[in-house]
Amino acid sequence: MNRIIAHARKDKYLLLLMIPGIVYYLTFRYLPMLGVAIAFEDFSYRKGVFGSTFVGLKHFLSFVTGPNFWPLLSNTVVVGALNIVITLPVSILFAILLSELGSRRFSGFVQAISLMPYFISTVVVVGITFMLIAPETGIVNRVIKAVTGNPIIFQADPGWFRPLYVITEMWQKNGWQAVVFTAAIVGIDPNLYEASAIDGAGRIRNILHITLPSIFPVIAVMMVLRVGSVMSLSFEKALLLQNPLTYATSDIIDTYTYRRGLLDGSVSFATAVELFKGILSLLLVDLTNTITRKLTNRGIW
Amino acid sequence: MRKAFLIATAIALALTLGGGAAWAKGSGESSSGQAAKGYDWGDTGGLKLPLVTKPTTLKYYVQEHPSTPFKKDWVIWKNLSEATGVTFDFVVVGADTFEQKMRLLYSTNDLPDIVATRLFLANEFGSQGGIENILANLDKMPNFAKALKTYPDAKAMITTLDGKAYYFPCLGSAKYLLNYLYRSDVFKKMGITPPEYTDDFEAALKKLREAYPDVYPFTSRRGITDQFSFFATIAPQWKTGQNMYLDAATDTYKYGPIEDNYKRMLQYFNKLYNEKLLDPEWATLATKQWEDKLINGRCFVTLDYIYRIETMLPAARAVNKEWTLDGLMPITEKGFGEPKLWVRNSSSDTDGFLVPANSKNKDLALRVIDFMYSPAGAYLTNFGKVGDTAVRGADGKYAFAPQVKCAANPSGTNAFDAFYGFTTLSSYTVFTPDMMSAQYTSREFFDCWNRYEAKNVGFIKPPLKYSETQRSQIAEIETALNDFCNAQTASFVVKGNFQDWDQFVAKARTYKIDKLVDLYNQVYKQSK
Repeated sequence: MNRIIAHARKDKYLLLLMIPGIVYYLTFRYLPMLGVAIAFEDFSYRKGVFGSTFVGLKHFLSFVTGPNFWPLLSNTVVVGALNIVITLPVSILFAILLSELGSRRFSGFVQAISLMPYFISTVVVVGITFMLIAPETGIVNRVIKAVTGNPIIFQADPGWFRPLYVITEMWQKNGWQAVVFTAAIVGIDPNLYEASAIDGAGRIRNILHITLPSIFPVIAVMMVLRVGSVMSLSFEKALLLQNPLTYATSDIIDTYTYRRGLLDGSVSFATAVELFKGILSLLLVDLTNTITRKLTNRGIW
Repeated sequence: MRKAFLIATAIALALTLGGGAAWAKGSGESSSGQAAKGYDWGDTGGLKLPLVTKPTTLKYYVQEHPSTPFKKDWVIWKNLSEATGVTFDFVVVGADTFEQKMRLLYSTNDLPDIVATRLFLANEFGSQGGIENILANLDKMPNFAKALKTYPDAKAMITTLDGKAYYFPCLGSAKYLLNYLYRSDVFKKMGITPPEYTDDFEAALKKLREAYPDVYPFTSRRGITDQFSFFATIAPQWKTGQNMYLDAATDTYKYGPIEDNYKRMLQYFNKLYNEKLLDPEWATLATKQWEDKLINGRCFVTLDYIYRIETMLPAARAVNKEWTLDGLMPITEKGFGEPKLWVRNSSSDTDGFLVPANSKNKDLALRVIDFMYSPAGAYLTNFGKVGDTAVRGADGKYAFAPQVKCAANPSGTNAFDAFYGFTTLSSYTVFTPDMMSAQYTSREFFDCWNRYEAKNVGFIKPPLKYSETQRSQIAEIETALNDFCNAQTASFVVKGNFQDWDQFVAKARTYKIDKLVDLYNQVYKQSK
């Protein structure tokens, strides 16, 4: 105890510096959590959090037993899982290819270019997508029309929602996601490569037996983090890409909550649904973390 | 995780809005509240103008229409300030956020003094408390009280179950809404008679497709979800309805999308789709693209407001001098359907006002609205001041002065709506018959109107009065059910997989249709 006080006294200025951060987290991250109370009430703005009637798990039960529970859950998980399964390997591959480029300057240039879309807002990305796939004027459909004669109405077909989501996600975020892997690759001891070159290994062997195993812990950690966010897809993008015709695949938990909570005003129900989603996400993270820790002896906790 | 806490978002948004409103107050300035001496305002129905003796400011919630961007120095506001002595401080919102912002302002007790709103919102808020009961204030509002006597429909519409009312409806709304529109010049040139039955309709579209092989002749921008959508307009002609609808034959509410008649309708449109007569974008087209298609001859038949016959003319004639739009009779299957179109009551349930009970100037707000219902106020908000923007004929009829551009005055310099603000959204409570003749002059428009009148195709949806419990029970079922059915039925049109119909109906039933039907019939019975 004395020791702690002595430490605190010694580092008092550093501790002082922490205060704004702590205050920030308390006000904007922890206090709002108390708002989940409305998930257990028939919340009315007029009556406030303390005045509304307490209804227990009513909203959770009505969601879980409701007819669109399974479609919503599977839509969310499938898009999220596809997104990880496809974009994660691509960004790893991209990072490896970058590191294999001979010219430093050229690889820097490519990396900068690939980063740029990340800074474009989702609305613009979706706008560009819609222009490209427009049935009569879009370049994609002009090519398709020239080949097959019939345009594909991407926006009206539920089957195209997931590919559109994942492809645009890849285009926009690939460069960004590859940054971590590029950094990890740079950190690999060059002696390893030299040693294996002396043993006669080629490039492919180097990648398979040195680069990949060396960055595997990073991949595992990224994987855990991404799985935790399987359920938290880009809400804006799903909302912008979807329309009632494609609800069969495009309606995810977030867009449904938005319609119920903000458009219909069923705030309690919407909060219950999102809380449910949050808990599920937490369980998923824990599960993947346990698995990766077993496999690699490394996890995030 | 962050997204789990909707309440945080709600609070943040409310704060932003509150901040925004405060900012608007700082910069809001409108015309002076001084009353001009010597101008005869006309019949104010007993109100003394100006309504206030010392300068007062009222906050005013306005919806903005994209084609007439809001201006606070519009003549309409200047006139209203001059007549009432009140300065207005506007809160302007676009259509896409109109409802959401109003909900947030309501929930934070920050509603402006005068709020442009819709009936269902006013009643929803009213039943929770905090909205002024209009019927308890009729003694202060001679003009509105008189209007309720002249329009018994309006009174029936706004009165809630417990005998209160929270909503001032706009009166004199034109009756007809959505119908089939077609390019009559193209039809005439090709010698096609305007069809009335499904077979002729299909044949006409086929001829058009043959003559213009690149063009899908029939399209729509109405989408597939709301009460103004594609099937909402068409289904009555197939003796069914989109979502919950009132079946006139049995006088009960039914759920349309699972009915055999609905399937029959979908099969017909699937046929049109397969024959490339119905645009593949029929369910997703946006207004701008739709206008481009219609104006540039990329489609010849569509489904839209009858007013488009008139309002699209300036833009379209600039491209093609022959361009003419006309209305078709409702298309029915011979020997099966009924030529029925959903029409509006003369009192609007989507354009109107409310006054919050906590407004500090609530009496004044009520009187301002009452003034707008008086003959003086109605003409002032429709035409402006006589000698300025308005002319009054010897017969007492109003028209616009020559400099004001409208359909009746095509050589005017400035548009009556975009430049002067007349009859823009949320700026009036009475749409006068004189305004109708100023805005609509096209022969096609009136001919079409008269054809509908002659055949008596219109039917009105009765106003429904919900209790708060019923409202939330209905919301719980309806959103999910309609989302599911609207998407599924639209996909039947595209894919034609009618072998899955029974499966679809069974799935739809799991969304508690029976309970919803019960609830609606309960509500309908108590609303009568």
